Amino acid sequence: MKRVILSCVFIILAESARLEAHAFLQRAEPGVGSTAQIAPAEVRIWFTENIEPTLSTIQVFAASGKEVDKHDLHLDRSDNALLHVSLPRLGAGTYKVVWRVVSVDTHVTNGSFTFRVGH
Amino acid sequence: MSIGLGVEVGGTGRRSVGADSFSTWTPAIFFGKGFGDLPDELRFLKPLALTGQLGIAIPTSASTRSVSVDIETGERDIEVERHPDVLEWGFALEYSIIYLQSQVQDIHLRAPFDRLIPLVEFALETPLNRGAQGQTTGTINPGIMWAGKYFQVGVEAIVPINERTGKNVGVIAQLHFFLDDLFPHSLGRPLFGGNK
Repeated sequence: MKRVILSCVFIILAESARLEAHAFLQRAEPGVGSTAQIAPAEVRIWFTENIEPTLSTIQVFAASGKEVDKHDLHLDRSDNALLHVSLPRLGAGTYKVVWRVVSVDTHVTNGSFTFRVGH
Repeated sequence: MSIGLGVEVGGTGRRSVGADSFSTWTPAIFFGKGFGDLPDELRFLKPLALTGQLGIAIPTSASTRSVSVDIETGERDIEVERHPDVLEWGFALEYSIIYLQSQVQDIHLRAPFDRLIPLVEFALETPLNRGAQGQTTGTINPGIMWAGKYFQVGVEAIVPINERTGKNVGVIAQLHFFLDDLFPHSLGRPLFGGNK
């Protein structure tokens, strides 16, 4: 039994040099479920893993269902786990952010959240 | 929702540790429902999830007989143990802080509290026949889990629902590894369809 346990530990340690994981949302600006008094110029999402930007999307929709982001999703210059997408000047209302990202280990994750502008 | 079949193969364990000489087949249905589609007025309930299972454990032997002989008198004592079909049912209700903060409302909880999942499990068994019908036993297990990138740990109390089940409270701890994240290029790789 000891040999089996030791073998398992060895395998885990051997693989740990290249451990990778699913990318989940860690933090966002505007914040998840938040209300911004001043319309944000962009949506920024920090993920738990480095992202492959060419295979990832972040879309921002108005309450009417119309997509309002500027289709310019890009990775942060200094942080490979941070994605940006620019916004036009938003009016008051509720907006939905829908994200789908591929982490560098090719795992796909997705999610959504809302934020409000104005009162 | 999914269906499954469990088989406990008889005659493969020592009787001294209570292993059965007969097999038990347990067809079951498993279900799960997240509450993420609730309206925004109830948004703080969105991180709730309900999972459960319902199955019938069917022993391949309705009863077993054991014979003991009194050494002094030579009398034989035959004991018959009956094995009823048993309805196995249970569910778990959990609240994901991870989901709350990433999809509903960031309440600014930081590590390690941002990865917690409080939950309560109900594990119940109700015999259906052979003189034991309706004698439900089971436990209620409140606890908490912490889910990381590569593993999760959890601890739960085990509270018997009635005296038939037991009188004392127990504790169970668990450690699960996420093999698809630990070994994304071997065990964690899909068998078919590549990594797309």
